[in-house]
Amino acid sequence: MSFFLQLLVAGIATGALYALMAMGFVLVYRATRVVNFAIGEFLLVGGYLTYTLNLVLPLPWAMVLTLPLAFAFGLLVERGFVRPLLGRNVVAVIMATIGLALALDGATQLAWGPDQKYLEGQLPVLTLALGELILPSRSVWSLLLALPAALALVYALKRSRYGVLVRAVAESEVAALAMKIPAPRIVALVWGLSAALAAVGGALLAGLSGVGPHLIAMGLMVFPVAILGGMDSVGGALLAGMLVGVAESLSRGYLEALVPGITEATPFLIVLLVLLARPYGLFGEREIERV
Amino acid sequence: MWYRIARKLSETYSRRFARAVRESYAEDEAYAPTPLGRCALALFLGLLFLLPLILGPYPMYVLSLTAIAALGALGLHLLVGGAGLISLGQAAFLGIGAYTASHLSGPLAPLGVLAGGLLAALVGLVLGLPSLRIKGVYLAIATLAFQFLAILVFNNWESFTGGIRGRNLAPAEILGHPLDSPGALWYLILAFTVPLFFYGKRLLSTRAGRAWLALRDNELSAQVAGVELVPTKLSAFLLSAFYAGVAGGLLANLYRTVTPEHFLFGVSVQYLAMVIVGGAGTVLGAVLGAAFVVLVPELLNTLVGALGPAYAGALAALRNVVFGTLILAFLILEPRGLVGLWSRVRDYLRTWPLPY
Repeated sequence: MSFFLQLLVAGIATGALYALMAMGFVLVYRATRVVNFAIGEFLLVGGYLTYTLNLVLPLPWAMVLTLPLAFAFGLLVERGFVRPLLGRNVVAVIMATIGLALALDGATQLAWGPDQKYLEGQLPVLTLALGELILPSRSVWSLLLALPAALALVYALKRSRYGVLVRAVAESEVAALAMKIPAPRIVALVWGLSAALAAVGGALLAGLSGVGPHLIAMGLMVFPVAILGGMDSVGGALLAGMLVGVAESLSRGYLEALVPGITEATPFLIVLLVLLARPYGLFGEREIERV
Repeated sequence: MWYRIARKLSETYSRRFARAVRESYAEDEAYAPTPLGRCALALFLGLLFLLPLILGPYPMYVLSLTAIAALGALGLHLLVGGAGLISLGQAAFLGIGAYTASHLSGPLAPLGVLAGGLLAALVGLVLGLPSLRIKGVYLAIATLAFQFLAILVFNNWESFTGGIRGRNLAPAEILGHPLDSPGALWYLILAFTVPLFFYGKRLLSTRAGRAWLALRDNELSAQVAGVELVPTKLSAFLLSAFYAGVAGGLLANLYRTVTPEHFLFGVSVQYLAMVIVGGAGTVLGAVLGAAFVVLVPELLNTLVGALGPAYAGALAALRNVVFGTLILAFLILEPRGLVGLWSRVRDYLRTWPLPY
């Protein structure tokens, strides 16, 4: 039983990071209908930025300073690659982000080399022991950073002025423009925010266990999460992130011994099954087709 | 009078040689409507047959890779450029074809390649079923999920795929002649690719092909116009998977070994890159795109080799950067891909001596 609880908690902690990334991903999809296949590379760039800043700054400062830089990086991507493709079909836009992912993938390797980089200094160890249950420092940090950020984002989308503007643009860009909402600026903001959210994950992972090209695999998990939650539901992404994290952790604990390699595939297996039953995800809005 | 003669000349010229005016359906349907074009086509096919006599084993190997990649890319073209459905799992179909062919190798190789195509088509049909309910982005990610599950199966189904170590093949044999060099295997590759290319070329102008195009442009209006959704979508998936399966079978015979790492997600992305760089929806695009994607790493290889061994480690990264940048550049600057570039050159050339 305690093994199960241990796995559950570890899963929720990883899931919180997934959720954070998926929320940025879903936000971008809602506002611009762009599926960002480069989200894993955003995470990677966040990690490497932290590493580079860490060469001159202490770790906490490096992590904090990564966020505005990642935000600027998101703006750059939006201006350079997304805006020229506005209004093109889904396949073209998906391909563009895949191209961006490949280019970033190679560029980070050329710039920082293929081997794992470890950071100077360490985050304070926050191992918690609750009776038999031991929360490793890694999980505590993930929960501590990711959960408040995720909840704040959901709250801001619902309540704050900018949240309302973002939702307005997502609803209908034309109508938003007619109401004198600066839609291009909002879209740019959303991309920046998405990059920053991914960078939180990247910075945290870099601080906890170093940074290397393998972090991209983490980015791939965004797709099952986003699909499970429904591509246009930010709250759904939060919940689905936890679900996928837990599923992954449980399959690592119980199934990996039976079928090696299944852990990477479990989230996709779940997604395939869910999509067959509910083609728009668990919390996604069914797109109504008007005649 | 001079004006009239010049005009007459120009008109005759453009009818006979420039394909600018098509007067009958037979002309429209022909693979090469002008005498000049027919000559070029015959010459090209003849050249394909003679190539192994001219080129050494390494160029033939690269050429074989290109032809096989072009076949797989053509399958993806039919799906993406034709029916407008996106698939991120082309490598998985390649794998199904390759593993099937690995069980029927040696004298049975042609049969194995065909069986690989058929089995892949069958799986494609099954994957196509959800596409009736799942749309757009959701479908793209469903095919991505399929890709990852396929890798899981390739890695774990020891009796069929040999697990991580993979399977080795005996060289293909035809009538007792072993096809153990790329030059000899080239004829097996031609025997599959040439008919499939002619078929694919014609396909988009048939009833089925036009139904796909209608579906791509607008699903609802296609239905209104009498296109049946179910058979149309399923046939697109089926054919795309068949092409990939045959390509996979040929690839297995070329490599003579099949391991899961030949069919990773990155390979699927490479095939999509071929479609985009070549120009979606045309046969020529598949060939140009495949040639590009196969040749660029080879060129980079030589380039990096010339720079010195210090850069060899960066080769994969460099290739990714070049690919990614090219995909982006083509999407933003020339959405019709290499075919678009080529057709501009051709439009200029085909009326060249008498442009008006």
